[in-house]
Amino acid sequence: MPETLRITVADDEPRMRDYLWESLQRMGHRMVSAARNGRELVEQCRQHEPDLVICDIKMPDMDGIDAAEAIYRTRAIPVILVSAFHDDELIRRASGKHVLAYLVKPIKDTDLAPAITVAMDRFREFQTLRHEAADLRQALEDRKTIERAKGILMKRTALSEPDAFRRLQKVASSKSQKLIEIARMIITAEEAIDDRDA
Amino acid sequence: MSTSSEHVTRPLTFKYVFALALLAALAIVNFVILRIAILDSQQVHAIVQHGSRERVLLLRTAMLAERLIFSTDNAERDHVRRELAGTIERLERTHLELMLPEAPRRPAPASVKAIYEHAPLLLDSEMRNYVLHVRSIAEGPDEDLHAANVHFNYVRNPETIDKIVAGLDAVVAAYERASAATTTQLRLLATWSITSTLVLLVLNGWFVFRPMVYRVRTDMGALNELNATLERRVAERTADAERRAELLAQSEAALRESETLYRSLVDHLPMCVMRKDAEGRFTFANDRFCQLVQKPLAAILGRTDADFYPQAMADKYRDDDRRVMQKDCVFQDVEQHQTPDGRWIFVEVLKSPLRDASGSIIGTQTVFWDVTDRKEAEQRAIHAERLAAVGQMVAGVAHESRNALQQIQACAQLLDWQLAGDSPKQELIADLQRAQDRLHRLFDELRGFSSPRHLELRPCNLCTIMTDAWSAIESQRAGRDADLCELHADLPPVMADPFQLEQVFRNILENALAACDDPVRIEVDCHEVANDDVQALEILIRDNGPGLTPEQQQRIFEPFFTTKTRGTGLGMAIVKQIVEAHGGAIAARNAATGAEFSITLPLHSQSLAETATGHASLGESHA
Repeated sequence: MPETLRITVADDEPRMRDYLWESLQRMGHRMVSAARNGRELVEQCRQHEPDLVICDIKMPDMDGIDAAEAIYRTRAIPVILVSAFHDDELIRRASGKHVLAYLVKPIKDTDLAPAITVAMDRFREFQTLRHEAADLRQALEDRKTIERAKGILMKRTALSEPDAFRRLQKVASSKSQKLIEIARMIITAEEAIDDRDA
Repeated sequence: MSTSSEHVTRPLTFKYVFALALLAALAIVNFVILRIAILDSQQVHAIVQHGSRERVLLLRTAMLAERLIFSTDNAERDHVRRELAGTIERLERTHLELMLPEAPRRPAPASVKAIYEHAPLLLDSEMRNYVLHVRSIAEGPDEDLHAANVHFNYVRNPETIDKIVAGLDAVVAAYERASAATTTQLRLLATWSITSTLVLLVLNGWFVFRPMVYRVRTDMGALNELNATLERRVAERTADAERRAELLAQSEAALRESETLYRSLVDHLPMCVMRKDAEGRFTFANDRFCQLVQKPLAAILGRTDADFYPQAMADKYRDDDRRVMQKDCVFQDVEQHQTPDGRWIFVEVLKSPLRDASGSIIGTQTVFWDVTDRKEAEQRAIHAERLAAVGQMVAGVAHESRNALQQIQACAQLLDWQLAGDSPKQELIADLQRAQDRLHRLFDELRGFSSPRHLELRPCNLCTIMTDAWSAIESQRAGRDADLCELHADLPPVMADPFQLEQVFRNILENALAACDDPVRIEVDCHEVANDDVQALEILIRDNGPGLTPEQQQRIFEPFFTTKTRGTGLGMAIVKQIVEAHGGAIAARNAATGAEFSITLPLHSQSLAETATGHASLGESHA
């Protein structure tokens, strides 16, 4: 049995909401809320922060695609779109967002279950990748800062590059602080001195 | 030219004739003068002769008279007397002739008459006297014959004789004088005559012959000129004629060329051209028509449509021809036409009336050509248009029906859950769900069939696709004794849309499963074929079922043709559509064991790949 997901659904058809509630229940998931339109969906997502959103596209007030966009702006929640329509325009609008599946009505449990599994796997993959990307970006940023601090040291103390780096490491270990912290301090200090010089 | 010549010639001719007349007149005058001269000389000669004879006779009478006088003998006397009488008679006659010439042309000159009748030389009377005296002697009695006879004395008197002779001489002289005068006159006349002749000749020469010669010369010149002109004209005409002949030859050549061109055009037209007379007999047919009816031209001319076509068709053509001729109109139509070898084709027909030089209608000309391809293309286009319209509608319906289907699905599912444990009711719900499934599938197939098919071509292994298809219908095979035998060797990959091709195989296999009783044996045989230089792959799918009825063979690929109780009727139509979208072909027939489907797919469908890869279809998630 896979993990239990907290799911919010949106469909203007009450029968469809009933069906999804029952169906998800049987799959071992929990439907935390059901919205009747896009606006409600955005509101409920903010409120419940579900793991997954399953929504119809054609709904009054705000359609599923716009709602998915609005949700994505506040929080990364995977979305499965379910629609009776699948014209090129809709598909174009839906793709490129964090829409992870697009099911065409009529759907059955047999369609829904694998779609949920696949969507969640993909979403996690995306999330992991996103985190990795963020870490890498941070590492790159830190590296740049350290290089800059190293440069300042070399200028001020006429040390060679390896010596300057070693000094930075020594300071960090003696102050029991991260190398990047020391580097930032040096840069801040340098900027203060530069201001006075100026 | 001729009138002016006449104008000049006429006075000249008149002059010439006049000159000739003058010459003739002169000749006549000369002749008359000569004649007069001859007559005169004859007369003078006669006068001189008569004068001398008279003189001799005179002397003889005198001598005879003397002899008589002095004769003694009677016999002698008688003889002399007779002789004297004869001589007197001759003398009288001569004298008379002298006095009255026999045919005097001219009267004796006045001088002669004077000598005859007037003193002192009264010749005539003297002569008469003398004759009387001599006659008196000659006829007087013998007694008077003596010297003293008065008559004798008179005769003897020499004066008498002299007088007469002088008279005679005078007459002769007078005649001679008259003759001389006449001669002088004649000489003058001759001089005048010759002079006038010469003058006339000169005048003629100057005024008639010279202009005439001049005229003749100018005329000759003109004639020569005319001749030259004529010759030039003849030459010109000849050249002209030659040129015309050349032109004629050229135009004949051009005509021949044009004829050849026309024949080659008419014979090689991709149309049948023929002409018929008013009775519908062929008078002309081009090669194309001859080929169509498979007869030489000679076997066509003079025949009618009835000789080549079934009666009903021939009658129709004859009616059309008649209408064209009667109404003098052009007839154009597309009609069905059965060729003599029995094929039915569509032809576009154009009939028009034929006219002779006077403009009256003498027959018809018919041109017709095969428009079967066009007609079929039109029909296909109409069919495609209709399909497209239906497709649009169906697609709309299919879309709109999805919500309803979802509703049915959701409710049925909910009901099923709520009735868990109640098998009979759940059975009903299962039926409901199956019905909903079928409807769903029908809508999907309809939409797929009616919308333009886009292929995503990639190199595919047919074996894999076939195996996938066989696996996909596993649910249908459940509980059946069914086997798939693949008999193909190593096959080259074929450019195809694997998903659509799988649908093809799936549909065919499903059909086979539905048609055959257990145990089902389906054989698949693939091999390469070369069709019109195109390398292709032929896939044969044979089952061991009852085969196809003739109607099924003919209509199996038509939409909504189905013999199954549960089928959309679109399966095989979709199969055909997909295969044709791949540039392939499909045929259904009966093999020894059962039905056989033959699918031919081109191996190198580059052009197809170019056109198809652009339309990557976004896959739908429906099963």
